[in-house]
Formats: sequence, structure tokens, C-alpha cells
Amino acid sequence: MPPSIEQLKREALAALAAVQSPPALEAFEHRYLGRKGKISAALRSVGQLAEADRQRVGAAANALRQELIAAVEEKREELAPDGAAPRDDVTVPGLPPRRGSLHPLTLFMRTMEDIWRSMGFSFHQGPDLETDWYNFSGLNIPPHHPARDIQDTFYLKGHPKHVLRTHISTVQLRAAERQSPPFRVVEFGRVYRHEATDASHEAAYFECEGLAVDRHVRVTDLIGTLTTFLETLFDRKLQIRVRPHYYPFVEPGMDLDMACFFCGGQGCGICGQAGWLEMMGSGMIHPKVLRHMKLDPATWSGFAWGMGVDRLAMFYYRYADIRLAHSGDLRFLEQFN
Amino acid sequence: MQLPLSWIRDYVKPKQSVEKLAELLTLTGTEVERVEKRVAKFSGVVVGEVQTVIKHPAADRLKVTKVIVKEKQAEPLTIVCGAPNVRPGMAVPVALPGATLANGQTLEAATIRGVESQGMLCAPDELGLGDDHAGILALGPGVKLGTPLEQALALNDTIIHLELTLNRSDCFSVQGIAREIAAVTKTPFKPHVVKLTEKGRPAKGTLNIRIKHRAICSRYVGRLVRNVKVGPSPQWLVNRLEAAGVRPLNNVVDVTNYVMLCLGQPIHAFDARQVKGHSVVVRWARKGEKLQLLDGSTQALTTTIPVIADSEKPLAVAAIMGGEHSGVTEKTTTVIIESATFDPVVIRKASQQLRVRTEASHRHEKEPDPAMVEAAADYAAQLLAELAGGEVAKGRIEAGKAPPAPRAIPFKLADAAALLGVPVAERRARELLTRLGCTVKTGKSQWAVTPPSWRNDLRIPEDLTEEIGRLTGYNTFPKTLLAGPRTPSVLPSSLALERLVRDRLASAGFHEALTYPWYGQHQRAAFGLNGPHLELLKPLSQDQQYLRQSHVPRLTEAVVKNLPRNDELRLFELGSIFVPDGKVLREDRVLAVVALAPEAYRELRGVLETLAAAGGIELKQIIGEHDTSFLAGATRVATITPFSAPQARRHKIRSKHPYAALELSLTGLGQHWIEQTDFRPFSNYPAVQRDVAFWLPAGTAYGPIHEALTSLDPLLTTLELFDVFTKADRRSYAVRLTFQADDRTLTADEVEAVLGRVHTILADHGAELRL
Repeated sequence: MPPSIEQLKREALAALAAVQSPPALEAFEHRYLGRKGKISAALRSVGQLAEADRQRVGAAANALRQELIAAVEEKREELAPDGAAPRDDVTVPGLPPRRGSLHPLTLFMRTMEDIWRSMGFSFHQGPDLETDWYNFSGLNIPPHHPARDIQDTFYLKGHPKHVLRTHISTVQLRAAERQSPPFRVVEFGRVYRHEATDASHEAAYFECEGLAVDRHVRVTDLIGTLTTFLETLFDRKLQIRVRPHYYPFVEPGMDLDMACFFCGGQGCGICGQAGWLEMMGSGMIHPKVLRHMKLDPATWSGFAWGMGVDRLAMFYYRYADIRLAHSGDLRFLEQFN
Repeated sequence: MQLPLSWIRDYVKPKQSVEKLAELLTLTGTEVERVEKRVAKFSGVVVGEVQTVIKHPAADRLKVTKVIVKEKQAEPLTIVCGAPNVRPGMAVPVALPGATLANGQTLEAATIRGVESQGMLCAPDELGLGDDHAGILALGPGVKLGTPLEQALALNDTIIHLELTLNRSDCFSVQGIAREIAAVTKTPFKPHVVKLTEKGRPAKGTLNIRIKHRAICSRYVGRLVRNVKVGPSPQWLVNRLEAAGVRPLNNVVDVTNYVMLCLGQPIHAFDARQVKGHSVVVRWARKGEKLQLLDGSTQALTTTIPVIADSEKPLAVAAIMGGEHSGVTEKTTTVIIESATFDPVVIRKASQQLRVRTEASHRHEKEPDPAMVEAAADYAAQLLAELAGGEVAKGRIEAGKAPPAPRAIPFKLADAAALLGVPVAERRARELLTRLGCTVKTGKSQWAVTPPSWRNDLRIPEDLTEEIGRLTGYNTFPKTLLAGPRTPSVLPSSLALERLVRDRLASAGFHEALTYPWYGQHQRAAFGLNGPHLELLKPLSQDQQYLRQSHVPRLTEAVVKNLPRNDELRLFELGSIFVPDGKVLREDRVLAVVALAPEAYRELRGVLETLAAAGGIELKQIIGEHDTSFLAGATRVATITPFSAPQARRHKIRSKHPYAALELSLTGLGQHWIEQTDFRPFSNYPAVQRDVAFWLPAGTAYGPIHEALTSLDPLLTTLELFDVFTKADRRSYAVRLTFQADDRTLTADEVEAVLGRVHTILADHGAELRL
């Protein structure tokens, strides 16, 4: 180290050692490390040195500069009185990270999807615009069958063979085209009914339908599987009853009811004083439909079920107007996430 | 359907309470919606008869009546009354002193304008029977004087409201429900017995019936009833009809409704005077024929409409509604009764074509029990004789053939047990099926089960299995799980992509919304959606006419709705759009994202770019007049529309932030998507960062510079535009450049060399370095 730099170092370190307060430290920094400080001056003077010394002295000056910067930082910490600096106010509320949300129906359908997957059901996705065959005839609802009445259908101008699917039972025929039994399939999707909307009726809503086909599928499997699903979904033992019902594409056909969540079965406005809430329609796939699936009813049997997602979500999340799902109101959309 | 329990009890007398009965019915498939227990809202009111009516001596509007409340009452009651309809001979409700009326008022004898009134004649509203106050309630004939009114009106009855399934045509009647109750409660059923007395000349020779077109009607039975006196029905019949929700009209019409409700077979009555030649023909309508129906409408008939005609003209639309001209009026004396089996599909089509639905047509559509045709005609004739003084002409006039008896269903008990999953004892199965009216011929492995005529829904073995299942009670079944093999459930790639997209957007601060999949001309015009749209035949309203091709119009409405509570808004929706593509109806899964934010366009573009990058997709930008679109390969997959401030205002968005919309076809994106699963090595050598800032004249695009720099040199690995601002007519851009090599630490000279080329490119694009 050239003598002048060496000297500068001793002087600087001595001066730093004498520093006892933050303002003094600031003055020290200014005097030695500032733009017009002694180190800068030393570095500027390197240019005037002989060629042979320049690099050596320059490097030494730079090294000293680094050393002093480190020493100043150390001194600064030394001078900082423990805990005396005002702490940040830790009582202020957090800054929430920007976050979006998934639609309550999306969340609800995912919950259901996960349960069906865990029970070995795979997924299918069919079109919303369906032909008469998939929506009606193939499901044992021939033209002019009175059952076409209860499903108020949207027809299209200029496309007489198509309808907006009125139910997602279409999956029974469509899924069977993709695979051979045994299989377990479920589909979630939108369905459409020509119906005036109110707090409990929608014209476009979601349904979930599934089916299981195997060699010896029984009514008891249907009841057991659907009960297990509902009890997993609601995470508790449920009071469930099975009620015979008619659907053209199943035989026998039945509805599953759950004791009303709201009144515990006592009867209230939501369950129409019945004490029971209808959860889903179901049944053993009709032999005609099995044949339309190109399966021999003598060998194969199966059950199918369908449920309205929007309605079930109302019970799950406990809101009273089905139209909230389509409201686009963030106060609804953001909840449940 | 609603039926009074008292009527059902004519045929079956179950021991259960009505609540228990309702539950039993519901759990065996005949759903009881509710049980309505009717209770009279009054007391102390009895049946009386008005003897004389004179004007009140001291009041123009009042009358003084003499009323008896028992046979041969020596001293009639004097009652002051103001109702306009009171007349001698009228049967009326009389509230005696001490009676309580529906409003809770207790009646006392009172002197009205100097005349002492010993009671009160009641209007319906005073008895809590609706809100009619126009006149005194006129009771029908056949009520005994002095009978408590609640008894005379059968008010203390229980009404069962049923939600029936349409396969069970047999249940749409009192007798059918009684039979079902008998089956589920194991109580004897008492079938209806007609007690008919015929009188006078036979119908044959007077009445002719011909089925000209067999496709319409397989069997037609007619009866002729002479000397009918049309008038009000007796009170008991009125009570039953009202309890069943049917409005009484006159004794002839009421009888037809009563028989239909009772036996399930629709009945029609013609005024024989209006039936030319007393000749009834079942045929298709002829082109140009017209018919005024009982509801007052005039229908232009076509050859697809089945009619009942006389020798000249149509009298009625078969099975649906009678014609005005041949309908029963006060002047009718001779009635032709029709009871027939019509083809359900013919009736259904005609009913749809005419848009006329009646209690009769909906029963005919479901094929009522063909074995009831004669009984219903006879019962109607019997009632006309009993209630309207008619004389039933001897003999039925019949055309067509009774349908063949139901066929036996081959039935294997083992199959039924296998489908149900529970053992079924032979004896029990036989007993259950027999209880339902089936004839069971047992065999070794297979039975022959013949359903009764009224159960046309029993056709295949599974139908019988259901009967055994439902009568056994599904709730007694054990719960089992599927036994067969299970394959892993994997989300199909299209659904996996939708899940990924939703998750990414939600975690990036966007809120998922759901909007209706249709809009109207207004939205199409406002958003320039000019291409051909699929149109609904009967939309719910004018602004729900077209199936959507964009989510943006409805999402924009959602933005406007949320605006009062939010400064910035970020929404997205993922769903189908519908595009007519010649004969093909295309459905695409589309993601739409809208942003109302300081950097709306760049946020949306960032969403698009990172999504594409996740699938290893390179996008190419095509700049349009109003929007900018992006290609993946040769397919246009996305469009971003930045709305100008005036445009946004036109959509009612009042905000200081710009508004923009991104539409991305997931169907298109999915086709180019490559699942990124392979590890990509990264450099372990230090990276060097340099910032450059420069000015561009306003109106000069930055994109080409970015593009040129991106492909400039492999050592220039990333490029981040981190600051943009405008000053006067210039815009400043600050870009952070990262330099890095895979195999070595870069020297200052290497970085400087590339940086020199960066400066050259900037200069070439007219950029001025900002120092």
C-alpha cells in the first residue's frame, strides 16, 4: 500500500473510532467517502501518478473505500440505540394481497367433482345444443310423449332438429358411445328450461348427472352410492328417504329426499311444510335406453341420477334466491372463496 | 289434482290417520303435496228456505222475508235482508241469534228500521267462503232444512292435494286413488257399481254412431237421455266438485265432470237437438271447417284435427272440447252422452296444434282405462236420471271394438331380486302383484303376470320389479356400494384446461361471474355483434332472443352493476358460445375477461400471454381497427378490445379508468396446448441487468421495438417494460434488460456489445435515449 493511502487509512480509522453519535458519523462519511471527500480526492489524484504506480495505488484506494464503507455500516449499527428507534406500528391491519374469486357454483361443483372422482367416476362434457335423439327419443321420450310437456323446451329458429338440452341425462347416451362397460361417468353442465324465472326457478342452470353400468348393478347400490355422496358432501350423517318417481328413462325410478336443513324436518317455508327437500332424481337405466346405448339389458344394468346444481348450492350455502348465481354481483361472487 | 277424502272413502276406508296415509302414498310413489283440513269459519248457521219476500215498509232497499228452518214450521222467522237475489223458494244459509260469522261477529236479534229481524241470511263472504258479497249464497236442491250449514256444504272435509306422475293415468280419478290406497294400506277396495234404470223408447233407431276414421278412436259408446231438466246441481255434488277444484255450472255439465273425476273416463254431453239426425260421426276435420268452442274461441280446423260431427258439421273437437252450438243450455231436454277411447297421440297433437288443454284432453293423452268406457257412460246416464229427472233410453249405442285385453308379461323373480338387490319371497311377490290387480300365473322359473286394464304403465318385467320394490319400500333396503372394478378417474384435458384457467385468473385478482347465455338486438347492436346468430323460437323476452356469441355484453352489464361499490373491476366468465356454421351448430368454450383498471389493456394482454406461455403457445398479433387479435398457428384464438372513453360511456361505464375486454377461445387454445412437464435447465451463472429508457414520438408503436429486441441475441434473455409515461408529445419507455449465458459468466465487454446493438435498434426505430 502506498504510504499516502496507508496514512489515509490510519487517519480515517482513528477518526471513525472517535465517532460517538450519528451526526458525527454523517460528518465522517461526508469527509472521507463523499463526492468531494478524501478517498475520492485520492482516487482522482491517481491519474497524476507515474504509469507504473497508477494501478497499484488505484486498487489500494478502492480497497480502502470498500473497507471504510463496511466499517461505517458497522459503526452505524453500533450507534443505533437498541429499540430506541420508533418501531413500525404493528397494530395497523394487514394489506390484503389482490385476490380474485371463483364463482360459488364453480366451487360447489368442484367439491362435488372431487367426491365423484374419489368414488371412481370419470368426467364427460357434452354439447348444450342437442339433437332430439339425445335429449328425448333416445331416452325413451318419443315424439308426442306427455313427458315432453314437463320439460319446457327451447327450440331454435331454422334448426328444427336441435334443442337446448333440457336435462343432462343426455350423458347416458353420449358417455356410452365413448366407452364400453363397466364404466362410471358423471357430467356437469348447463341445461335450459323455457320457464319464467323467480327466486326458485331459473331458465338456464346447471345439472349434474351420472351413471354407473356394470354386470350386476342394483337398486341398493344406487341408494348406497347416492347416500354416501350426499353425506360426504354435507359432511355429516343425513336423514335420507327414497321415494318412487317416474322418469321415462329409468325403471324403477326414484327421488332422493333429505330432511330439510332449515327446519330439521319440522316443516318450514323452504321445504313447503313437507320437512323434506328433494335432492335428486334417479333410477335404474331403462332397458330401452340400455339398448340405445348398444348394451344388452340381459347382461348389463346400471343406475343413473341427476340433480340441479343451483338448487343444491342454495341449500349448501344457505341463500334463498336462485338468481343470485347470475346476478354478477361481487358481494355474492366473492363469498365462499 | 285435489280430491276430498270423504269422496275417496266411498270406495276405500283406510284405518290410518290422514297424515299417515299421506306419508304412505308419498313413499309408494303417489306424492301427496299437502293435506288441507277444511274447517267452517262460522257456527250456528243452518239451512233455511225463503217463503215470502216483501218490501221493507220503511226502507227502499231492504226486504222483509219469512224463512223456515225446519219442515212445516208453523211460525216462520222474520228476517230483514238487503240482498237483491233473495226470492221465495230459495234455499239459504240462516244465521240464528247466537251464531258466529267468519269475521268473528256474534249475531243477535235486532230491530232494523222498526222491523224485528230474527236472524240473518248470509252472503258467501260472511261465511268465509270467498269474497263474494253480491247476494245471498244460494244452496242447491236436496239439502235438508235445519241442517247445520257446515254439514250441508261438507265444509269440515280433508282435501288431499296430489302431485301425480304422468305414467299413472289410473290415478287421475277418485276410484284410481282409492284403489292405490287400498293397495298400499291392504284395505279392501269397493269398486263402483252403476245402478241404472232405463225407460222409454230404446236409443237404437234414434241415435246413430259411426267411427269414420279408426286412427282417432277405437271405441265410442253413446247414451241417450230424454226429458232432462237443466238446472243447478244438488248441493252434495256442488260440494264435491268444488272440493276437487272444479267450478260447478249446471247439473248436466256437472255430471260429466263428476263422472270423469270419479272414474277417470272423460264424458261429453251434447244437446241432441243440435245433432243433425241424431247422428254422431268421428272423423278428421275437413279443410275450411270452423268450430266455435265452449270457451268462446273460434278454431279454424285442419285435416289433422279429430272431430265429433253430425251428418253436416263438426260438433266438438274430439276428446278436447265441445262446440258452443251443441253444448248443453237451459233449453236442452235430450242429451247425448259420449264416452270413448281416443288415440292418445292424435289427441295430444291436436291439443298442441289448437293450444287448447282441458281436464279431458290431458286424461285422454294418458290413455284412461278402456274398461271404464261403458261404466262411465252408464254412470253419467244414471246421475242425469237421478239429478235432472232424465229418462235413460234403453241400450247403449256402440261403435268400434274394445281394445284387446292386456298382454301377460313374462316375469322372472330372480331377475327382479337381482335388480333390486334384495331377496324377494315368492309368496310375497305374488301377493303384492295380486293386490295391485294383476293376474299372476306362477311357473317354475318364469311367471306370466297380466296387469289389470287400468295399469297401462305395466309393460315390461322391470315395471313389475318396480311395483314390488315400491310396495316393499325402498327405505327398508340396505345401502350397498358398487362392487365392480374401478378405473382411475382423470379429468379430460378440456376440463383440466378450464380448471387451470379459472384458477389462474382467480389468483390473479379476477372474479368469476356467470351471466345468461342469451341477449337481444340491443346488445348485438351496441357491441357490433353483426354475424349470424342462433335465434330462439320462443324467447323468454326480447332481450333473450339470440344465443350469445360473446360474453362481453352481459359481463359489461355486471361491471356497470358493481361500479357504485368499486373503483377498479376485474371479472371473467368461462362458458359456451353458439355459432351457426352453415348446417353445423358450433359450440366453443370461451373465456372472457373484462378489466376496468388503470392499465386495463396491458393487464388483459398479460393474462393472455401468460396463459399462452403456460401451454407453450406463441401468439402472433394482428392489429384491427377497433380491436387486436392473436393467432396461435393459423387460428385466431383471442381478441382484446380496448374501449375508448366515449365507447365506455355509451355502455354506461363512468370511471376514470379505461375499460377493455379479452375473449379467448379455449377450444382453440386447447388445440395448440402442450402440457409442459419436461424439466427445462436454467443457467447457474450470474445475470447482468441494465435499464434503458428512451423517448418515442406519440403515435409511434413500441411493439416492433420489443419484438426486435426479444429476438436480438441469445444473451439478452429477458426484457421487461417497467415504466411508461407521456410528456407533451413524447412517450417515455423504460425497459429492464437481463443478460445471461448458460455456460459462463458474461464479461462487461460482451454485455456492452449487445447493449450497443440495442441502442442501434432503438435509433433505427426513431427512439431517443433518455439519459
